[in-house]
Amino acid sequence: MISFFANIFGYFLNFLYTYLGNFGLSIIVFSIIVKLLLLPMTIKQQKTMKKTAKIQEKLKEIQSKYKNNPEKLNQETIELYKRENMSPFSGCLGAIIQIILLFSVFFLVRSPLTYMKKVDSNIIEQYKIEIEEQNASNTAYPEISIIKQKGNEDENVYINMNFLGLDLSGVPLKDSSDIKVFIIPILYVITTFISIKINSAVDNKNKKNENKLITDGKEEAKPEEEINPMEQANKNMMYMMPIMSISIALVAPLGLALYWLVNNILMIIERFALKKIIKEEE
Amino acid sequence: MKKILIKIIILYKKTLSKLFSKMGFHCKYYPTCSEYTMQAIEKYGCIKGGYYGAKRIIRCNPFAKGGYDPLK
Repeated sequence: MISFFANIFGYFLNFLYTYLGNFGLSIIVFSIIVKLLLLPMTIKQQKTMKKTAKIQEKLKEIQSKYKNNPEKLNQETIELYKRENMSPFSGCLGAIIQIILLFSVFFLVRSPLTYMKKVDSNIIEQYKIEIEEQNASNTAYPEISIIKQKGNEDENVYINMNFLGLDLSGVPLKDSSDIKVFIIPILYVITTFISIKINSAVDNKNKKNENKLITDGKEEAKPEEEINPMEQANKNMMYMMPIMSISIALVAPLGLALYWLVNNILMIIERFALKKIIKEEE
Repeated sequence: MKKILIKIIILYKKTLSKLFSKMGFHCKYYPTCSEYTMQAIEKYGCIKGGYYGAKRIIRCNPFAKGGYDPLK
């Protein structure tokens, strides 16, 4: 199923590639367009997130009431959203789309010949065998070795992987002799931490407001109630995901890391832009 | 097969699902899509149950209203 979507995105990426003539640039333009297409959804999402922050108190009440009954909790949460007249979130389909996108891009950079250039599988198979005979070793990304070794001879399997002097077909852990392969992953790590910081900054703000409300209500400020195990799990997840994606980025071709990097940068820009827009609307 | 799929869904609920709700994605229905799919797979088997689950996920899009939607 993923390969079906990867094929569709492949057509699109190939279209960009024929115009731009550069794999790296195509990936950047591709991610910008995808982000723009998903922008309406993101705006809606941000707005609902803001609203959620406002009814946070009522939510807390429900949460403590139905602590031991997650099903009931979910039901009540939805009821609350209905009462507050907010259509909740973008739903499961939005989340699934994100997963599909993630995997499709991985497929695309792993086997660009199949998905992007739509090279006949027989030809790929033939080249694969030839290369295997020459090197007597298996590589994790056979199509990338085809591009590297046969690209000069056969127009059909040639993809311009050079991007600002970086070879996008490189795999950081395998081609570690060339220090340049680490530039994109390092930038990716930095941007990831920036976006985490931004996210948690928003969270902290909400929390501070909450504490204020409690003290205003003549109740004594509770010193950090018992640490919510769910919250703790969330926090762990926040750090787990980047660690996981960074390790994937290190063993995958650089194209993937580039896509994620551009995505991260766009996300940070989007965050700031949306904050302004939403504030102005209010 | 049934058991494996259900294990995967439980794993999803414990990990990715929480991340998604942090990102602002949240199921619009009750029971949630993952619960619904789990029930469907248990009741109708992998293929039919999975089909119902997929249908439900598609229904759970940004334009849907959401609400109470139990498995039939």
